[in-house]
Amino acid sequence: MTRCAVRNTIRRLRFDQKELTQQALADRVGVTRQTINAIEQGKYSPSLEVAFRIAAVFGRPLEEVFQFAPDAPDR
Amino acid sequence: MPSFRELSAWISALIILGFYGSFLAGIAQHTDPDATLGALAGIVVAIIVVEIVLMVALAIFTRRGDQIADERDRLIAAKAYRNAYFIVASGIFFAIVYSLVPDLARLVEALNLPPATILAHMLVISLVSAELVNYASRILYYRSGV
Repeated sequence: MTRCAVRNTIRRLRFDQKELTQQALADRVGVTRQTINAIEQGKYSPSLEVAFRIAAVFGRPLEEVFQFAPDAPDR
Repeated sequence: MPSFRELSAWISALIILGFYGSFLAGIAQHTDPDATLGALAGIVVAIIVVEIVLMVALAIFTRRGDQIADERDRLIAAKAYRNAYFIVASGIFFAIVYSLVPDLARLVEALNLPPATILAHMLVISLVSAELVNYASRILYYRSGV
């Protein structure tokens, strides 16, 4: 299975936002729910634009939402 | 639930496999060029009709038929087309070699088909294989990540 070197905290941030659903986040970012799920699962690295949009939805800086971890083991 | 585009890739792959599979299974019977052309045209029309019906049904069932492709869908499509390109290019390459090397015709003498019909079948097989690789790649990328 493909795993990307970009980790993220979207799941926790969604929880902190009163369990914001993947669909609601997807609608606000402008992607499909499946793409949000793939990003959360580490199966897809979003473009810089989508990464900024996701961070903006949570009102957090980009590096708090996404972290680069090239040597991290597969989850 | 899988996305609308992943499900549509499954449907397209199964349609191509079913219709072209049945055509290619009886390839040895397609000796007459006119009959072969007629059979191919019939399959193309049937595929278009069945695909439209199933895609409309899928759009109604998933209620996501109006979903615009996002960046992940476009990346997956681009990679799938890249994979399919290699199959088409290989098929065309083999067709060119077959056309330019008359001795190769002996290898397929058992099929008892005219050389032009064999050439047409080679191109059809490469196109069908490319389409299958295209949709199989999409399914793989949707499921395992891209």
